[in-house]
Formats: sequence, structure tokens, C-alpha cells
Amino acid sequence: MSSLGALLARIQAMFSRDPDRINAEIEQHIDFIAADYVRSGMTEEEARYAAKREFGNVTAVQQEYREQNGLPILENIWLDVKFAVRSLRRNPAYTSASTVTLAVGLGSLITVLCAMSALLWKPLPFPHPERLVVVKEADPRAGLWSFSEPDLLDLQDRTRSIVALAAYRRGLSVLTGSGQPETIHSASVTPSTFAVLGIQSIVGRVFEPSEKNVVVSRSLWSRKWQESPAAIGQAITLDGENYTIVGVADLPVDLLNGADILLPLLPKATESRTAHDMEVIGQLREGVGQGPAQAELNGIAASIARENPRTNNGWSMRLVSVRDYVNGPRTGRTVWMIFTAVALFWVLSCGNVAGLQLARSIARRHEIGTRLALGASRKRLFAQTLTEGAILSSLGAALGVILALYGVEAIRVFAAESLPRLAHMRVDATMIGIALFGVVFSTLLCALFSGRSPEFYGGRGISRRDRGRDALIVVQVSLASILLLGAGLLLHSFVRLQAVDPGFDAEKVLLVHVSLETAEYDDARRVSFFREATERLARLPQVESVGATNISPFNGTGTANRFRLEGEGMSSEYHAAAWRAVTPGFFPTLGIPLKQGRLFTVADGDHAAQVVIVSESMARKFWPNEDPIGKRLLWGKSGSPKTIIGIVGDLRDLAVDTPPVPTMFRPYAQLSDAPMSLVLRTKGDPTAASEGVRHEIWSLDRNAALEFQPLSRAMSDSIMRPRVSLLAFAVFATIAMLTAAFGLYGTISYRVNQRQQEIGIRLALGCPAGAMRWQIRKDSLWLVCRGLAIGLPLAYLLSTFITSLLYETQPTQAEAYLLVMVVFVGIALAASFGPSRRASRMDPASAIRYE
Amino acid sequence: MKVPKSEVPYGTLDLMILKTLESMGSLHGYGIARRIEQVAQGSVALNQGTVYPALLRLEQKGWISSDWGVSDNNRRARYYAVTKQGRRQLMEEEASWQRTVATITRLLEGAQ
Repeated sequence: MSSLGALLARIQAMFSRDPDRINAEIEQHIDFIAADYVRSGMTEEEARYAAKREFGNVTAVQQEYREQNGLPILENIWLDVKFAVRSLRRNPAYTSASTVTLAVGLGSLITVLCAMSALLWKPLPFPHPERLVVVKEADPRAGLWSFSEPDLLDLQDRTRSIVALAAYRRGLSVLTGSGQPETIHSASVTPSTFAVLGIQSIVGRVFEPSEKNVVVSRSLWSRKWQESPAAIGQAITLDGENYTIVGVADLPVDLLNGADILLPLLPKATESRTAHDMEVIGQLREGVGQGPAQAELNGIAASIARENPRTNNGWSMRLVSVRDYVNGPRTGRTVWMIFTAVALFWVLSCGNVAGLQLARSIARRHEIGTRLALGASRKRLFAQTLTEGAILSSLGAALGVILALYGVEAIRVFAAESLPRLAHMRVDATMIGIALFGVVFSTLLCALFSGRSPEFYGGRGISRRDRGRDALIVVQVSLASILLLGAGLLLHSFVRLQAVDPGFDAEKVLLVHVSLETAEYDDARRVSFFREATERLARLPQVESVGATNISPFNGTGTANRFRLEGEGMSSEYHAAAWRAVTPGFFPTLGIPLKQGRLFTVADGDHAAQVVIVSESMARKFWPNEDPIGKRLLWGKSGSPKTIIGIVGDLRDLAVDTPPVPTMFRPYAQLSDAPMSLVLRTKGDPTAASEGVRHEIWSLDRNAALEFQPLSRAMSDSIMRPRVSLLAFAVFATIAMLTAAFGLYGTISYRVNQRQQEIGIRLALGCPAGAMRWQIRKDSLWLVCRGLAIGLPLAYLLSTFITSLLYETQPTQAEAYLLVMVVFVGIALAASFGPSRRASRMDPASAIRYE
Repeated sequence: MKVPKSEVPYGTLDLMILKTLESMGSLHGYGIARRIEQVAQGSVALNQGTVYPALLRLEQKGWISSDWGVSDNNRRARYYAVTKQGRRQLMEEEASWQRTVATITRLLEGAQ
């Protein structure tokens, strides 16, 4: 207790120092003694002299008093801090280089950890998230599908391991009756969905399955009804049907199709078993793991297949974790890979700062020598460098946290669309903890390396082998080579991706997605609507040509239809190919080249001969050595024959990096589908035409919902969206590689500089200058080779993880490895060239004296 | 006859100061040093200045307190006094000192 009190008193004394107190007391004391002597008859002067002698050594007392008053260790630290701050401010270049290096390293590490935590670790915002699973149906080829309604009901009846099932059908609904018609994401949900996903109304209530009522999201509520309670009870029209709003709820962004509106749905056993459109989420019984649940599902699927062999033969059911479902299947691996790279980069950046410290210790050896000579202890000098390292690291960490705040914000803005979980990213206390750990790590590393320099110990630059410094170079080379290889492969992919020809000309093309109220239109009306619309739009002054397609480029999903070739037996396997329903204007508007035969015309109508155009890759695949024109294929299950009239160029219209798939084109007039997208080739800026287009279409149908988008934007989004991670990683890896290269250059040239004296001695003993130069360069090369020998095999192992990110690039490409070797050998030569030349030209005498 | 002077035994100065303050009440540094010298009757060579670090040490432990005051001859001086905690500590240290002395005495007598 009293010792704690004493400690507190001493700490307090450090800050509320009263330096005059002891001096006043001493002076007083001497006065008292002197007064006594005066009384006993001395002169004033003699008395003072005698008093001082009697008091003893004033300075010693003051010193002892000062040491007692306050804590010498803390004071030393305070002195070290002041000194370090002064010396860091004297070297702004060194200070800012180190700080920025550490900040970028730690900042990227924290940002990536935040993303990882949001994607992989943070609990999902549902009740009992650990018990939630997504259930999919799997076809005989193990392709995953949504559920059909009868299969869902059977599952519900038979399962014991799943206690509650949420199910919904994704939808895109046209909302009319309140302002402009609008297409919004919707979901038709079964009654138990609310409980399983923990959705509660914030205003009003949720609906009962029998009602024709809807629940809207908070965002739609505030956008359309300004959060007014009067929205409850309001009638709205969705796809031509009337509903009443009964409630508002916070809807999850991760699941439910990101819907803004929920409609009631009761699955029916009478629906088709082949219509797979229900997303199913199950809540496992408490204590039941995924393994036993999967085993039970296997049995259930087998019994359903036995009962319905025609539709379900070979089908099974598959559990998928909700997290994998939300994030997409490969996200986990990609994130770990990025984490590995960033962690390497962080270690590398600490290594670079350690290298800078080494170089600086050369510059400081006179200062350090002087201080040693004046009696500073090694411990105190080490404490001094430790302090300096700690200050640099803290500055770097603080700046790194700030960078991470911006990085997290940037990722939220740019990537949350493709990975909704990223919306939950936060820089939290854990991350600050990691930052502190980073401070400790880099501090120790810095101190270790400035402490390693032989000059530190007052030696005169004797170039004994310094294992620590050599190890630093080897580690730097190996880490940097991993990053460089990754960066090279990714940049190569990115360049290849930019150069892809999509098969059509996206410039000056406007996309218009048109949703018609389904209740109002039958096939014939729809076809005539689009015929009319394309004719009218083609007459607009800003428009050159117009076409329409059921699957708009870069917004569509994959389509497939089965067919047989004429002449194949009815028992033979079906073939499958993608298909599009397009108007005659589609090909010329997008500039898709006709390779053979003819394109559609308005004459290819409902009652004319049934025709089809195939893509080049389809022609090659199914008629490898024949002319397909005039041949017939048997469309779909009905097997109605369609004559091939033309071959067009291949399209990459799903995603630029997806290779073209065999595709069949049908005239829209013979195969009506909804919704449709118009494509318009405009004369100027595509968006400028949108007003005229809107006016024309609304004059045909005021309730048509329209969405405008320049095709070039859709295309760059399609390149960028899935490739944001690729680009970000490539840019990051390049920065990392450059940092590594500079760091390496610094460390190697430091190493050569340090050997000046040895070089002098060798020269004096008659070593030829050329041999000397070669010796020096060989040493640097040898270190780099050792680094590469560690780094490249590691890089090879790690590169298999980035295969999924690569495009037309093999992770094993020999050029990549050659490039890495050339770069590092180049760095080694460049870094040792100047210093070795200088060293070998030195006068041996001055080299020996060289300090 | 001259009594040979010895150094202040290590660790005893604190006890001396405490005891002095307990028996004399409030005193300034000079007074304390004087009083110790008087009691020792010239057998201890006290470097008067050394009382000040000791006083500070005792104050930090909370055994004595100090304040500025005015001396008999109207001079400003810092006065020290024992605290309650200090009295308790003094009792303990006195007892422990007595024990030590008794032990040493018995040892020395036994050795004769």
C-alpha cells in the first residue's frame, strides 16, 4: 500500500515538480547554521563558509533528492522520446518513408481483416444463424437447382431434422398505381419465412398466407411514401394485380433476392415438379448437424424419386451453408488468398523499415560513437533506438488505421453490390488491437536491426558476416517474389480481359428494359407491341436502328433449351444450347456479323416457316464438316422442326470473360417471351435519346416500366464487377512489389557500403579491382538467389489459389517465373553496381581508414 | 576525551528522523539534523544535507507530512511532522530494532 502510494507520489512529482523547494530548504538550512556561528562570534563570511562545509556536498544532495523525487526510468523514457522526436524531425525523408511504408502495410492488413470478418466470421443477422442451411435440389449431373413446389411440400412433410422451412420465389414486379411505373425486386414468401428469417414488421403487421396483402421494405416505404404511416392500408398494383400494404419491415439484404416487396405464397402440390423456382432455407433441429441432416435428405429425395420417376429420377437434395450461399462458392478461398498476400506485404513493409533503419545506423555511427565515448551505456543506446522504433511504428499504425477507415468505406461502396455481406464491414476494437500488435512487431524488428549494425557497438565497420542482415535480404526477396509473381499473373489476366472482343459493338448503344403488365398481354399482343415500338423508335431522329431481345447483353442469366438434330432417333440424348428470341433489327443494331445465310426479316412471322439462326460456335460444334444452312433441328421436347437460315458471329453477352457458348436465335414473332429489352443504336450520346424513347413507349402503353442503361456501361460493369477484386489485387500487388524492390535496393546497397573497409584491405593486398567488383556483385546475387529459391516454390504453391481469378493465364507459366528472376537479379545488380564500382576505385589507404 | 565518530549506519537515518519528529513534534530540516547530532553527542558524523532526501522518502511513504511555516527567529522554513501512519511505523521499527539489538548483544556476549 505505502509502496504504491510512494510510486504514485513519485509519478505525481514528475509532473508537478517544484525544483525550488529543495534549493530553498538547503539555503535556509545553511542560513540557520551560519546564524548559529554568528551568534558564537564568527564574522558573517566565516560563518557562511563553515556552514557550507558542515552542510556537506550541496550538488550531491540535490542530485539524490532529484532521483528520489520522480522515477528515473520514466524520465529516461521521456528524454528518449523527446530526443527521438527531435531526430525524426531532422530527417523528414526517412521519417515519412518509414511511416508511410508501415501505414500502407498495416492499413491494408486491417482493411482486409475487416472484410474477412464481415464475410466469414460475423454472425449472419438471422435468429440461430448457426442452424440455418440452404437446401437445393441437384440434378443427375450434380447441378444445383431451386426447389419445385411439390418437392418442397414433400420435404416439409417428411423431414425430421429440419424444424422450419422458409421458401420464396424471386420475382421482378412492375409496380403501378403510385407515380411512375417501376420495376422492383420482389419475393413471394411462404408463411413460415418471417419466423425463420426473423423478419418483424416495424409498422403494421405481416400478412397471412390467404390474404392478398404485401409487406414493403423500409427503403421502398421511405422512397415512395416518405415513411408515412398512411401507407398502411394503401392499395397498390403489382403486375396488374391489386394488393394492400399491411406492413413495413427491415428486409435482409443478403437473402430474399434483396426484395423491396414481399407477396404471400402458398406452395401447391399441383404445380409442376420440373418448375424449379423456390429458394429454400431450413432451420435445423437443435443438436442436429449438417451431416445427419444431409443423410436424411438423401433418403427423402430417393423416396420422392421412386414415387415420381418421370420427373425426379436421379435427383437428390443438397445442403449448402447459408454463408457460402450468400457469399458465393469461391469467395472464402479468394478472401484467404488476398489475406495471405496482404499479410506478406505487411511483413515486407516492416522489413523495409528495418532496412531503412540499417541504412540510417551508418549515418549515425559518429553520433553513436561519441555517445558511447561519453559513457552512455549500451542498454541506454538500445533503449533509445527502441523508443525511436516505437514512435515510428505508432505513427505508422495511427496513419494505417486512418487508411483502413477509408479503405473499408471504399470497399463498402464499390464491392457491396456483388458481395452484400461487405455492407456489414466495420473497423472495430479487434482491429485496433491488431494495430497495436503491429506496433509491437515493427518496433521490435526496427530495434533489432538498428541494434545489429556493428557500428552500433562502436566498432569501426568491420565487415564480419551479419547473419541477421543477410537473412533480412533473403526474406525480403522471397516475400517480394511471391507478390511479384501474383501481380504479374493478375495483371496479365487483366490485360487479356480488356482486349477481349465481345463479338459486337457496344458504343452508342442504349439498352431499354421493358416490363409490361403480364395480365394485359397475351403472346400476340406482346409481339405486336414490340413490332410497333421498334418501328416507331426507328423513326426517332437520334436513333439509327432498333432491335429487341429477351436476354439483354450483360444483364441476362444463362438460358438453355434442348433439341435434337434432324435424323437423330427419338430415343437419343438431347443436346442443349443457349437461346435468344430477337427481332430482325437486333443483329444490325449490335453490329453482329452475318457469316453465312441470311438474317431475320419481318416476313419471318408467326405463320411463316419456323426458322432459326445459329452462332458460329454452334455451327462448328454440331455440323463440324457440313454446311448447316437449310438443315433442321428439332426444338425442345415437342420436337417441332426449325430450319437454319443463317450463321452469325459468336457473342460474349453474359460476361466478357465467359467464353461464347453455342447459341440459337429465334425470331421474336415466332417465340414470344417476356420481359424484353430494346437495343437502340443512337447517333450521339445514348442517354440523350432516352426521353424520346420514353415518350414513344408510353404513348403505346402508359403502364410499361422502363429502365435505361448505355450498353457500354453494362459491359464495363460486367468486366469490372466480378473483377474489382482482380484489379484491386493487381494494383495492390504492384505497389507491394515496388515497395519490395526499393526496400531491397536499399538493403543490398547498404550491405555493399558496409564492406568498404574490407574492400580496401583486399585491394591493398593486391586483389584486382575487377575481381573485387565481381566478388561484391556475386555476393548480392547469391543472397537474391537464396531468396528466390525459397520464394518461387512457395509462390508456385500459392498460385494455385488464384487460378479462379485468372483469365487466359496459367499459374504455371514459365515466363512469369523468368520475369520474377530477371527483376530480382536486376535489382541485385543495380543495387550493388554503384557501390561496388566506387569501392573498387577507392585508394586502398583511404579505404582502410574509411569509416 | 574524544568519542570516535562513525558513519550513520545504513538504513537507520529514517528511524532517527522519525523518532526525533515523534518526540519533538514539528521541526524543520536543520532542527532535525541538530537534534540528531545533539542526541548522538558527537558519536555520529551526520552529513546534514542527507536528511533532505530521507525526508522526501518518508514523505512519499506517507509517514511524515510537511508544510511551510515560520521559525522562532521569524524565518520562513519547511516544517515536518509525523503522521498517524508514521507513528505506527515507528512503533514497528522500534520493536524490530530492539529485537535486532537484543539478538546481536546476546550473540556478542555468548561469543565472549
